Amino acid sequence: MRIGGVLDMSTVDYPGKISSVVFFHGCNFRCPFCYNVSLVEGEDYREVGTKDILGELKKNREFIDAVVMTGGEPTLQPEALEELSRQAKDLKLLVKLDTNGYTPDILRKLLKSGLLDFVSLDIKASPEKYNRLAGINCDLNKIKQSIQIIRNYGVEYELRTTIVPGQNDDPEDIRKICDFIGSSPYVLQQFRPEGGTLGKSLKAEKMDKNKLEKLAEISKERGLKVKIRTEEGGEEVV
Amino acid sequence: MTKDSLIMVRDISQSMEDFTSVDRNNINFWLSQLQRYSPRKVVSICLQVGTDKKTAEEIAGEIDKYADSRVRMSEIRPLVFSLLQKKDPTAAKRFRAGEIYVRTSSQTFERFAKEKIVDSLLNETEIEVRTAEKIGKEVERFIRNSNMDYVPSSLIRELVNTKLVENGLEEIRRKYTRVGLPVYDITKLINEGTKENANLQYNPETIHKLMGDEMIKDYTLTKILPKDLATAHMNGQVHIHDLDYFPMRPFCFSHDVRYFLKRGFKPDGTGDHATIAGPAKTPEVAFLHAAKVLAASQTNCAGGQGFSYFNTFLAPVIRGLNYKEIKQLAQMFIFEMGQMYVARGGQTVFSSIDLDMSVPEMFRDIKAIQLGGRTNGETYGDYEEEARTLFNAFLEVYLKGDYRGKPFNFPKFEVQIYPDQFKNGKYDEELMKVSELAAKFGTPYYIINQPYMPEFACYQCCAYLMPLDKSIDTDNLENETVRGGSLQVVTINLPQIAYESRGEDDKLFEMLDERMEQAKKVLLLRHDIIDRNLRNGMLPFLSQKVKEDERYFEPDKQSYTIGMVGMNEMVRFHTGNELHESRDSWMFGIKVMKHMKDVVARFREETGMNFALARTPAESTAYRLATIDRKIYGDKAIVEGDPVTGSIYYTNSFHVRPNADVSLFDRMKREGAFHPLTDGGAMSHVWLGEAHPNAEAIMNLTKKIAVKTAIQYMAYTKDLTICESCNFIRGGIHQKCSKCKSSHVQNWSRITGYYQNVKGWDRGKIAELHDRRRYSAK
Ligand code: SF4
Ligand SMILES: [Zn+2]
Repeated sequence: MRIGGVLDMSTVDYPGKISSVVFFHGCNFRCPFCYNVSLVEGEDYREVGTKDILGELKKNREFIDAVVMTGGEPTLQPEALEELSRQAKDLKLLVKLDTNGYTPDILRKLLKSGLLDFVSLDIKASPEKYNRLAGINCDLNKIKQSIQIIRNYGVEYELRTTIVPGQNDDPEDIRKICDFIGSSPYVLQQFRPEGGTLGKSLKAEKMDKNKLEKLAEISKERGLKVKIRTEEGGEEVV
Repeated sequence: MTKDSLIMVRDISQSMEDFTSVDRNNINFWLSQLQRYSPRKVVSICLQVGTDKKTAEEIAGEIDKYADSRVRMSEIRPLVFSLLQKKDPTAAKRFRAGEIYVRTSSQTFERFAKEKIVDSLLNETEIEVRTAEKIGKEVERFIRNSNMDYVPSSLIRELVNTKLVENGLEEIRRKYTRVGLPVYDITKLINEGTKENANLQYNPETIHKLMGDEMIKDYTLTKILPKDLATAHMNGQVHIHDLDYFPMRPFCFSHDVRYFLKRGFKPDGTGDHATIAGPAKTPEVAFLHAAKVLAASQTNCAGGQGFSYFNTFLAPVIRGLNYKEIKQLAQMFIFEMGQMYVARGGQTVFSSIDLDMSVPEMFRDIKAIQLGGRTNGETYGDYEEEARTLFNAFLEVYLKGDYRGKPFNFPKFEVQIYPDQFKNGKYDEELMKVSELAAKFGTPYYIINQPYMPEFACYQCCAYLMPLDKSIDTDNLENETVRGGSLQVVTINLPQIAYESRGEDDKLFEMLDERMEQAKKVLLLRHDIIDRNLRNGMLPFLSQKVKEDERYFEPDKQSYTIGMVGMNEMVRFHTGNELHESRDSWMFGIKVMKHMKDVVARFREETGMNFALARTPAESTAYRLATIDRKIYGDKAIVEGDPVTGSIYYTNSFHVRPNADVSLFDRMKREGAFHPLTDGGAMSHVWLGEAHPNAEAIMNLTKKIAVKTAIQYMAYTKDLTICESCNFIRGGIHQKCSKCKSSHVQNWSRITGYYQNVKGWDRGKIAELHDRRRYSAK
């Protein structure tokens, strides 16, 4: 499998748990605001076996509760993802998957095998703007399907949108996203232009926290359970 | 020059072979100077017999009308005498008697006499009479031959010291010498302050303190410490902490607030110099007394001042108040501690409070001290609700920070946690709040009551554990005895022992014993000094009476702490691997630690005093010792940091190297194994890399560390960048405010035992800060 690296300990990637985070290399999207550039493009990866990663996890096993599969897009390496998840489960670790939701079949397979305890699914934008913010031509049915699958299996999950100034920060954007996702736990994340972004021409500033809060209010009015994640306040329930 | 002295000069020139070449040169110079007239010489002659500057210059002016440089001074002298007789008859008399007058440090003008030198030498040292007289003569000769307007007594002393050295009397010189600062250093302190200690602001109090510190440090090394111990410190074999306070005050102390609730409060300990208060009758006064107790005691102690079981003992005081009122009291106390900017040369008090989530078992049946200092049959167990409310109130204040949202670095907040209570989840709510505080500011210190620990574990403000089990019974618990501290700390430089023993086990342990023996001597000396000071009444706050035969502070009950620095580097040099690299090396470290523990136990038995092995919070020690060793051993010395720039350090105590790339569990497990081997306190750090750690996950982690490792005392450290322009606080060390882009930012982090502005750290510690392996950092 190809990975960008492993973070041996995190308090923020699995809600309320201590987790290790595995960064899968490669992605099927090209979101212009993506700041994991090296995980999406280029050759900056390590080729490792799941055993190697397992070894890493074991070192901190006494302290961690969970492992988070993130990327890039983990589902693009389905066998490795499945194998690693299974091995993690054998260690009695919780498994969380971060995905862009564009591979519903794989998601279904993992859930069916009981390998996932938490799914975090990106919603890039409102349907009209999806192609622009995912950087490819999207079949939105796949995303819809993924959401449905997660709900069917009844695992913990959250949908999340990175709000980028001038791109998807109009109240109307949020209303449309809410229409699209229905009633789900929803997280609005603050865009921060640190390091580089995938879209070289993207000239966005950091998303203002107050504005982000206002947008969060809108989704809250729709009856969603809403959180925001910002540099100023970390994760906060709205 | 007087007539007599001219004669003397002639004598000298006749027996020049008695002199060293340097002296001979001097004398020849003076002879050439003496013989020819110059107005300056006239002034000098007049001044030496005690006339004022104005008169001296008038006389010189008049003479200069007639004389020129071809004239000999001997021809001028009668003229000087007659003019003096006219203008200053007393001086003229002295002129005739051939006396020299010198200006002394007491700003008076005195006749110079070599007998004074001899007397003072005999008085202050064990010099032989003959030698003293010889030196007095030599110095007099030098002064008479000099051309100085005045001879300050400090210079006379320096001249005597030079002669003592020339005569090979180094021991005598050590006693006779003065300590003080070069004018250059004082100017620098006044103009720039210091960078050495970030707790010290650049202000007049600080400058006073620093001058005093330097002098006392010097004095301690010159006079108080026997030469072998002073040398051991200078060579970096051991580090004797707080030399600047060595001859006066003990180190840290943790107080029992009940003493003051019961008896009231005398800030100076006697009431002779300050206002006396009786037992507090209102909650507000009780809290204010508590705050002032720490400040008052700081004037008698060098190190941290704290309260143990603080919310438990204050619980009865707040009965009947509503939450808002209680929080106001907590807030007032915290602000008082952060705002009394008065201690030890203009600093806040180095303070701490230990808080309990619930009234501890051992106090449940102890009679509770009420307002007015009385008891009423109720015990602390009856105040569970108040204790918990007060705990929460303190936490809320800490979480809010000050007016600008800045975290409180003092008083340090220490919380007692009990791993055996995690299962029932009874205190999860409190622990969650503590975790929020840890996630937000890194503030809390966790005292983890491990099964192997004594029942009464008060952690000191400076992170020294005070085991109270031996001396404590119920009677004691009722009598405000939950107090004590570490009187002195000495750190052993472990890596140096490794360099010296060149891989030989026996040699290594032998040297370790030697160094510990040195440490013991220092600690015993300190015991005697403090004991004497207490009896002499120099430490009035501490010598207040508890009972007829017991003072508030008893040297015999204090801890005498031996610590270590650089276990990791020692092990690496000796075994080839670091603590985290091989099991054998780690086990060797444990073996060294066990050995130290045994030696300390033997010291306890031999002396009956409470010697303790502890980790040392090496704030400047780590840098100082690494730097010394680098000088002595060159490349052979294993130091962390960057040897090229000199930003180097040793790893603290028995810690795993700060930048070792190991999992947190591995680090905690390896360090944890050392904790039970200390009896005077240990500490481990979790350096956090996340800007906003999740509080729930932190709680989770705390529980795991408490249950799965032997760590007994720990803290999470979150680096902070505080913007001076807009007050925005951001996790991590950054050069710019991410909100307003200002570059006027302060970086704060935990140096070892407390949070501090990074600006004042030494180079070694700054290198360590950059090296620290932060967990959960991407
Ligand atoms: S942000 Fe977009 S491009 Fe970047 S990893 Fe996620 S899905 Fe892929
Ligand atoms: Zn700012």
